[in-house]
Amino acid sequence: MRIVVISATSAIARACISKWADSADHEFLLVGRSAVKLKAIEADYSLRFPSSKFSSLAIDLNSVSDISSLTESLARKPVDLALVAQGSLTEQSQASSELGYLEQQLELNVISAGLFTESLAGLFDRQGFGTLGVIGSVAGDRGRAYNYSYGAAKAFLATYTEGLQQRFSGSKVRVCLIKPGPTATPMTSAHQGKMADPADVAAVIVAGLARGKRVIYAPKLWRIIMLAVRSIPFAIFKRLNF
Amino acid sequence: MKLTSFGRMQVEASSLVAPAWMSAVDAKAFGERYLPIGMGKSYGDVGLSTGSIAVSSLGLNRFLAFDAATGVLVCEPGVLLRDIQSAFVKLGWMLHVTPGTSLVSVGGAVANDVHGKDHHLAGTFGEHVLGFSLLRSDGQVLECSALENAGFFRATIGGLGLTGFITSVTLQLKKVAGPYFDTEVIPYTNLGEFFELSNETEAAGWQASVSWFDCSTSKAGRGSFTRGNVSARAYDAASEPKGLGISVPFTPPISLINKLTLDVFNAGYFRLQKAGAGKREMHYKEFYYPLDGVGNWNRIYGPRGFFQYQSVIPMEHAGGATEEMLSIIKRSGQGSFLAVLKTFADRKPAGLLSFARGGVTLALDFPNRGDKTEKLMQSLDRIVLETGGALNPSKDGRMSREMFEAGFPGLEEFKQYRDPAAVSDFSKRVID
Repeated sequence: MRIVVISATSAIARACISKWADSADHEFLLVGRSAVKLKAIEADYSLRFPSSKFSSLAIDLNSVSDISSLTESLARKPVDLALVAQGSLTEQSQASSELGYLEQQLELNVISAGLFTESLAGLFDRQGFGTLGVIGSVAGDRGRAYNYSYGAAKAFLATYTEGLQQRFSGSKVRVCLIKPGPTATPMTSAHQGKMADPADVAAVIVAGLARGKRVIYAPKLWRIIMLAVRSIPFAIFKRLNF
Repeated sequence: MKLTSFGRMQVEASSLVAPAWMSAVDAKAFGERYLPIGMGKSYGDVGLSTGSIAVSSLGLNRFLAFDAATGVLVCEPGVLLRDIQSAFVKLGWMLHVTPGTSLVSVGGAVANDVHGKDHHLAGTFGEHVLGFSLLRSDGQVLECSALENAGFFRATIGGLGLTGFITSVTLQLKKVAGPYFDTEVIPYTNLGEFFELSNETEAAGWQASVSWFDCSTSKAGRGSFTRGNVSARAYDAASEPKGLGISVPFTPPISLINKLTLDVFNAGYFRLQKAGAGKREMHYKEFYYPLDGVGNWNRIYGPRGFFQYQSVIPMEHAGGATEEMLSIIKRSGQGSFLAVLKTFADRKPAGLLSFARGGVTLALDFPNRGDKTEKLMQSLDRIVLETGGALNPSKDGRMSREMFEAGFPGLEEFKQYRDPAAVSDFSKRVID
C-alpha cells in the first residue's frame, strides 16, 4: 500500500507505522513539522523495516498552501491510506486563562486537522478510492470540565468525519474516526500500568482501518465505557467528578 | 512516582523525566540528584533512587545508522536488545553478547556491562561498545571511546548509570548466518560432571553455554548443561517462532515458590530437561531468551518479591566453594528454583566496575522471607569474601560496603569519573 501519515512523529502515528510495516511491505510518506524528528524516524524505520520504503516531508501543518501542494503532489500516484494524526493534549486551566494558548491549540487540533481531512478526502474522491483515518478522541464524546477545550476540538472531527462518511456512502472511499483512550507516552509507558500501550492501540487502529470501520475505539473497551458515559443524564453528569 | 525493580523492591522517585526526542534531552532537567533508568530489569537497587529524578531512556529508542559492510550500529540508549536482534538478524548480524532477557535497553546493558552465555569467547557487552556520547549533569557532552575520554569510557561501562546519561551508543554487531543455533542439552548428576562438561565445552570451541541445576533441598547438584553454536541456516521469515503470549496476570498473595512447591518444580524441570536432552536446532529466542515469552514472571514470588544472589568465585576455589554454598543452602531449607551455573573466562574486564571475571558464577533466586533469607545470604557472603570473589551489583539489593569494596578494586579509580549528581540507592549504600 501507499500510506501517507500526517503528524507522523506523534506517538500513536509512530506505533501505527511500525504495525503496518511489521505486517507487510508498504511505501510510506511521513509528513510532519520538524525535519529533524522526521529524519530520525525515517532512518529508524528504514533500518527496522528494510523492505518497506520510507520518505519524509516537513511542512507547516497550519498552512493552506502547504497542505494544498502536498495533496496536489500526492495525486501523481494513488494513495491507499492516509492517517491524520495531529493533536495536542490541551491543558484546560491554561486554555481557560490564556486565550493565545487556546488559539494555538485550536489551530492545530481543529483547523489543521480539519484542513488535512478535507483536503485528503478530496484526493480520495478524485481517485475514487482510499481509506482516510482521522484521530479523534474519547474526550470528544462528552464535554467535561476537565478537558472541554480538547474534547470540543475532537468533537469537531467527529461531526466532520460523519459528514464525510455520508458524502462517500456507496463509494469506495472510507472515512474512519479513531477514538483512542488515554494512551501512555514514553513519559509513562514502562513505569505505570494504567494507560494503554501505544502498540496495543495501534493494533486496534490498523485492524479497524483495514476493515474500513466507521468509528474505531482503541482499546476496544472504550466503546462500552463511552456508551455508558454518553447515556448519563446531564442532571447527574454535572455532579460527577472524573 | 513509584519505581519497582525486577526483584520487586519499590521506592519513590521525586519525578520521572522521559524525553521522547534527542533534542529534548536537557541536563537542566536532571536536577540536583538523578539516576538514568531503562527497563527496570535490575533485580535490586542499582536502578532505584529514592527522592531523585529518574531520567528514562525509553523514549529514545531509535536506530540512528547502520553500516551493513562492517556491522557497526549507532542507536539511541532506549533501544531494546530485542529490537536489535530482530531487525539485524535478517541482515545477518546479531549482538555479540546478550543477557538472558532481550527486554533491556542498550543504555542499561552498557551501564551493567551485562554478560551472557558467550562469555568465554565474547566477553561482556561492553567489549563490543565502540563508543558513546555521555551527557553529564553540568551539561557537558563527552564523546567516549577507547581512544577519547578513555577514563570515562571504562568508568561508564559497568558504571551503573553513575557517570552520566548516555545519549547514543555505537555497537559492533557480529556476522551470523542466521537466527538459529545448533544446541545440545546434557543432563548431569553432580557438580563434578558440570565442571568436566564446562571444560570440555570450552576446549571444543562451543560458542555459548549455560547450565541450570537443581538447588532444591533434596536432590541438589543435578542439573542440565546447554550449549550452542550459531547454525549455518539463514534467516527464513516463515519459520520465525510466534511468542508464547502468556503472562502472569497478577501478583499472588504469597510466593508460589516455597518449601512445598520447590522440590516439585525442580524435579519437574529436571524431568523436562532430561526429556529434551540431546541435539537439536533452536531459534535464538528460545536459546537465549526462554523466559521472555512469559510476561511478568517475577510476580510468582508474591508481593514480597525475591532476591537474586549472583556470585563469581575464582577458578582455583570454584569446585570447593560451590559445593560448600550448596550445602549451606540445603541446610537452610531455602532452595532456589532458578539456579544457574556458568564459567567465565579470564579476560580483561571492559569496565572499571565490571562484574564478570575469570571463575565460576552461580546465580540463585530466593523468595524474600525477611531475616531468614538475609542470614542465608550472609553465610554465602562469607564464602565469596574468603575466596576473593564478588557479587553482581545488577542483581543485588543488600550487599555490604565491605563486600562491594572487596569485590571491585577499580572503585577508587571509578570515583574520579562519577557524575556528582548521579545517585542510586545502591550507590548510597555501598559507595557514597
